[in-house]
Amino acid sequence: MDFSYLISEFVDGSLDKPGEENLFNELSTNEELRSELRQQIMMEKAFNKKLSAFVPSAASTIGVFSKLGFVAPLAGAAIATGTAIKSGFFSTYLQGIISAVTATVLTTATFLTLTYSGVFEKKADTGLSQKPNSQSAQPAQITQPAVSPDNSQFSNNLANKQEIQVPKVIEKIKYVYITKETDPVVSSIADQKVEPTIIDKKIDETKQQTNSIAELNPETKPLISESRNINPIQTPKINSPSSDFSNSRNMDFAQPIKFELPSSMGLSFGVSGMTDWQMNQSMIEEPAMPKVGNIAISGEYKISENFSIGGEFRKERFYQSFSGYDKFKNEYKYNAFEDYPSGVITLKYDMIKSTYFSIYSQAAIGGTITGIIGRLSSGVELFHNSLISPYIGIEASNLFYTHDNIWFNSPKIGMNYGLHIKF
Amino acid sequence: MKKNLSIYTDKELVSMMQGDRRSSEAAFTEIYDRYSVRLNAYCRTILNNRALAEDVFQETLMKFYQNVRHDFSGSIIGYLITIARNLCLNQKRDARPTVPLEDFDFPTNEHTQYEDKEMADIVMMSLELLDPVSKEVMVLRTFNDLPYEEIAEILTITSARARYLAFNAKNKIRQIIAEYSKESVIQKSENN
Repeated sequence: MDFSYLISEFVDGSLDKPGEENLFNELSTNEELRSELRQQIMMEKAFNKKLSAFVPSAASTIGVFSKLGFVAPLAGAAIATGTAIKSGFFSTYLQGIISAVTATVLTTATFLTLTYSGVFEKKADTGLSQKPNSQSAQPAQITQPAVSPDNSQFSNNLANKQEIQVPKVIEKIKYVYITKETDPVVSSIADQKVEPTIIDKKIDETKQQTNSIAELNPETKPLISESRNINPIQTPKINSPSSDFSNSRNMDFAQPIKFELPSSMGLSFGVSGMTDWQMNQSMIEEPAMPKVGNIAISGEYKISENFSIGGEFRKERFYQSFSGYDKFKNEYKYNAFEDYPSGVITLKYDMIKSTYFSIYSQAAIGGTITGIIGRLSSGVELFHNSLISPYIGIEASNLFYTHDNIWFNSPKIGMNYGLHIKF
Repeated sequence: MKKNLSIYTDKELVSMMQGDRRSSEAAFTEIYDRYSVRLNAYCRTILNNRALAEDVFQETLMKFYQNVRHDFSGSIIGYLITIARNLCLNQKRDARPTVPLEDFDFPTNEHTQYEDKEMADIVMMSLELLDPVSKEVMVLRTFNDLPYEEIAEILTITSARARYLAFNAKNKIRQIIAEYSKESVIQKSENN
């Protein structure tokens, strides 16, 4: 029997039981055979050790996966700096979600800051907004339009303007009446057998009342000259012969707290799709676009007649190409079409604006998981109706990213198209 | 949540690869994790040229992905080796007949002890002294852990022949190691 063959089979793991018994019996008495067994085991170990040195290089792995349009399963050896291995929903979209939330928070914070700093307060003659609880609002107590369409009774133009705008705003005003500690002025008014106002009051009467209140309370400004575009009828009408409201309990009426919604909040949300073309020459075939790709959702707030700020969240594609050396000094080349979630803050300017359309330009800055994005775009927005505006435009984007402390960029141009829903 | 595909059988991974793109990518990644080292070992040892081996390695996986997506049943590693072997044969046919010494490629692992590394290098060098078929049998058996039946199928020989070639190859390598050990013992004693 060839025991060398049995040893070979045994080390190989393919020796049957009878063969094993024969071999072990022989091994117990044959020193030369035991030495041969040791050598074979050592050889087998050497092969196993050698196998661990055959781990494919980063370049090979990236090459295979990028050619197939997949994400290479590397521990970042050749992935752009900051790129994490993508696995699971959260790790895949975490950076995008952070970008979107950041953009939203920044936009909201900016909006609130500007709102409460009074930047959005309109001029008095526009009559569209005013600070709540401002003194001019104090006497206003009506809850229904008390305006006669006949505004010819106003002698000045300002009054006419206010009159025209009444129906638009007044229907969005709500009041809450609360009682309060006696105000000297109101108290004195109440003591004089207060008879409240009637609702369908003619404008000339209203004007009279305004003036009478202003006379009674020197701190109360006449409403007509103040910023409201509502018909300024006031708190309890005094000694009015036409009054049909009886303040039977002779209560003190406090100043009303007013809540107001503007007719247009200036907010809009958009959904859009896009088609783009990478500017860097691709070394690989572009894989098919995933189902959720090249789409965006956005929100913007109108800060002035021509400017809007906002945020946009996209799933978009960039072509990345760079080379380097792995830890084994193998050169690798990285070429991949990466689909990134991105978030940007936008500033939009309406260059030309008419009733039916506007031509806008927009600048955006933000980022993806791997780098910084800058984007310029321009297009046309159609004012189809007051709620929905379709738009179409062209854009140029650039992704700036680093690898091994070297900056790279990935420019692209594209078309975008979508809808704005306005509030 | 990402599925742990390491518990999936080869057959299940293949059927996943034939599904949608997402499943296909996940299954391919798992297959890559399982077999890339062995496939690379085959390419490197058969071709003895890192650059060529990398090309063949990548091309093999590309072809594998494309073919498996359409129709496939059988052993994944066997199929990978079959593709790689054909590509290696093409490369050898087109390549120069000799390999310059500086291009002679012995993969090394930095973490291996010096003695082990030396032994591993001798074993690898010994492989090169074998006839091509024996070398291939050894690579497929030792690195790829393929059963002799599958080796026989790939090389179009009988399994008994594959066993015999493996046994002869091991003997030859053992002799080379023994010779080398003797020489190194003599050299050490001379130095002392």
